[in-house]
Amino acid sequence: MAGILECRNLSFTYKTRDLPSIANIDLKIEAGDFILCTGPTGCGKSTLLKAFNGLIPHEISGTICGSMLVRGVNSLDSSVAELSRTVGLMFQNPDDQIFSTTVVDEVGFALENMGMEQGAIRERVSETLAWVGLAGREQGSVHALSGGERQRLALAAVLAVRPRMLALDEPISQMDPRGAMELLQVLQKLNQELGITLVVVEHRLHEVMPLCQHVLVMEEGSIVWKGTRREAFRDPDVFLRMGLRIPQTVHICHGLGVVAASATVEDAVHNIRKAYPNCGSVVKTAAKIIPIAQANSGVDIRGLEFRYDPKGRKILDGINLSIPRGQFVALMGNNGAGKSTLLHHICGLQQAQTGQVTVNGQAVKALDRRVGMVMQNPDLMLFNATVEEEITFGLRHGGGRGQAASDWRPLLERIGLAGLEERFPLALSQGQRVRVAIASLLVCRPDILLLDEPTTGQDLGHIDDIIVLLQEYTACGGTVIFCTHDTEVAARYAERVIVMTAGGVVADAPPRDVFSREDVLRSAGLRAPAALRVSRELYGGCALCVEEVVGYVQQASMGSNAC
Amino acid sequence: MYNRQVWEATPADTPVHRLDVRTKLALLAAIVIFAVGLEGPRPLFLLFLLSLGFHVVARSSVERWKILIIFLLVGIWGAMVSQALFYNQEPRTMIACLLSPTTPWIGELTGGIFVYREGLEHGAVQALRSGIMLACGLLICWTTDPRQLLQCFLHWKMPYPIAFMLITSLRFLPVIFEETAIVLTAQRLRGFEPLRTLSPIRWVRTAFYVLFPILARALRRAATLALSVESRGFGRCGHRSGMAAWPVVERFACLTVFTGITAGAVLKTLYSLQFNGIVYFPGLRGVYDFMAVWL
Repeated sequence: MAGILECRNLSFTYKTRDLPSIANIDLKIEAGDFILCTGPTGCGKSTLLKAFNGLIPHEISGTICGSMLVRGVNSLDSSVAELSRTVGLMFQNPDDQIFSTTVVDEVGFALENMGMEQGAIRERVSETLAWVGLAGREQGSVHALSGGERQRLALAAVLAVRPRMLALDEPISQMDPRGAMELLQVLQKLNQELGITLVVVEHRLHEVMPLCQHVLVMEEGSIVWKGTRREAFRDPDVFLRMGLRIPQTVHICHGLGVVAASATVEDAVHNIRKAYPNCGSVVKTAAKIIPIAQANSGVDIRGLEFRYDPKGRKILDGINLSIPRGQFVALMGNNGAGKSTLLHHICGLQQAQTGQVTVNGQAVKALDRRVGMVMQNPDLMLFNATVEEEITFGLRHGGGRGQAASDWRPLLERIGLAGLEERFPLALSQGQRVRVAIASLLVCRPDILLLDEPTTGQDLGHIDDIIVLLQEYTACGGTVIFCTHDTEVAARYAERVIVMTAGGVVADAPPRDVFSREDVLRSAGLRAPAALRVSRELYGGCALCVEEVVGYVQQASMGSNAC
Repeated sequence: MYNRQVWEATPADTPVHRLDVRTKLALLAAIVIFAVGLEGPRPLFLLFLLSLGFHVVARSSVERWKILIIFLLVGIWGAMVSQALFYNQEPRTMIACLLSPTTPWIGELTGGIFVYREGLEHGAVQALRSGIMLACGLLICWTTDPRQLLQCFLHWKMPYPIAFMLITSLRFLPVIFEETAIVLTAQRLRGFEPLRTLSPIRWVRTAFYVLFPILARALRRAATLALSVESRGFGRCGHRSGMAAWPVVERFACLTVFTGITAGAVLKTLYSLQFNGIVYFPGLRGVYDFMAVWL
């Protein structure tokens, strides 16, 4: 393969910082490669991508050392416009980069900037839209597209100029599983059929890793590990050490000391069986199913119906739920299933049109103080000048329920933010911002805590921090209901999973039950966690997490699980 | 919950949507000149009705009509009340006394507060002017692709940074409205009721509380958009595709309107010369009468 891009001892320091964001990067990217670049938040991944198409240093001020050659030409000698014809750059959130109101205008924008004729633009736009699965949508409004479609439109807008290389900055981090899968399929097709070189920066390794050819791991501005996907599967320690989330199949193999050749369930099962021939001889589920308690109800919902438009479809259609105090509940389903609307009813942001919602036996009032809610984007919940002001905001506005004014300090220590009291909340890292938002509600000790996608865009370390905090809260009698698309998180941590589709509840059971029902998962656009699928294939079990499978196989191979 | 699409340009197949962006901007300029130049309430009212008529033709949704009406009513109320109370031209006719000059201390200090009829009329004229501009401005925002506006501004040699800044603000205005609603909801969920108070100090504090997260996100988002368009080859230099040809009929219509504006300006100058006793043409008496009534 010929080299398309080469970094030689490349370093870059932003004008506003003292230390380099990328340091001494030596990297050669071959044409047609598919590279996954990962690492902890703030390790310089996005900076590196911006250097690829010349935004650094042409548009972003700072000090650059070393050189970068794009198809043999030094990037310093080319403009961003010229470099963007070779390297297309796509950002995380399509809503931040889509500029036009119609699909055709958005895709044609880059071509107009190249000076292409209108007739040729129309032809190129149609061809590009076909590549990303949006054929025939030329005249459609960008507002009419789903989240996944908008991301594919953003991809088409970059792809229109036919770049030889695409650099994508966390393209699936905000997407639901269905949207992410659609986008990844398109990327794979572009790489395999058109030979477009791909560099994808992503935290969701478990979804991208199985598709890529090479993996780069960055830490503190440097590349600390690079190798093929196969090598990454063989040696996942570097990923685990950084709290990065590898495919569960690889994680299981690693835990069992088995070399994973790929991330597929079939390969994992095959390799484990070879190493542990006795593990499949016992047909027994890993743990018994715990029935859902119905007593001591925290939230009670009876016959809840709601529609935004009196003539429109029902957003909530006859919801009946009883959620006891102290329970940790995951609310799942595809976009538009009614999850957020249900949360809004529980916290009193929306009033029931039909039916009733009660908390601790009393009907929910508008903006009920017994219920706290963390919104999908916690940044919009941080509006004070310091962390201390943020956390005590609810207490100062009558939200405290008998706490002393100093009660928030131990909480701050528990969430690992001690010493940051005087910091500006919006200047904290993403994981810290989420924890501040949660703590600002927990300090008021609500009976119920609702969280809308709290783990989206977070790496495994941050997810664990959040979950520990929430588990402490439920241990003290609080109830947590969180919306999520992440089946691995729901399976691992939730006591109960409620699946919604088209405004109705289609499954409500412990995770083991719910994730065993393929029909339900398919209808909600979900997929059972790989750990469960491995355990099912391997020994007819229904394990919910990696440790469960590893523990079971090890015990079975020693004979302790034999009936 | 809040519907951000109400604020965003939406493609549709109406005569207003089909107009070339240059025609829209030229007509907007013409209407603004008319609104500033006209002084009589009757022609201004007709122009105001015309600007609302454009919304009918563009099939603006019920939500958009609600927004338009709220803005217009607030504008009319503000202009009329302020002018009615603070009108300082002569002659002026007092129609109500809100605070007598003989009221101890405050009456002596202010000289009394009165409502003036001429102030109300002047306020109504000002309100019509701002209403016309508001209605036409919103119409363009709701029916025109921001990218086309940007191309048009650059085509007309507007400096790149100003054009991009203008369009970015238009592009993000709906998002900022949406996020403001979310921030206010988040505050209410935490026991802060910013809108249920008459305390100005609390309003100021609320404004800061809202501004922090909104500005932080708006800055990040604007930076991303700028990088995104730059990395798609858009920038200060470089050869772009020419805009599609300006339809001849539309161009002719704009030319006619601007010829009308020029003619109106000439007539107004003649009327002004006559009114101030500088030059009088007996043959133009009919024109002077028309000008006195309509312009």
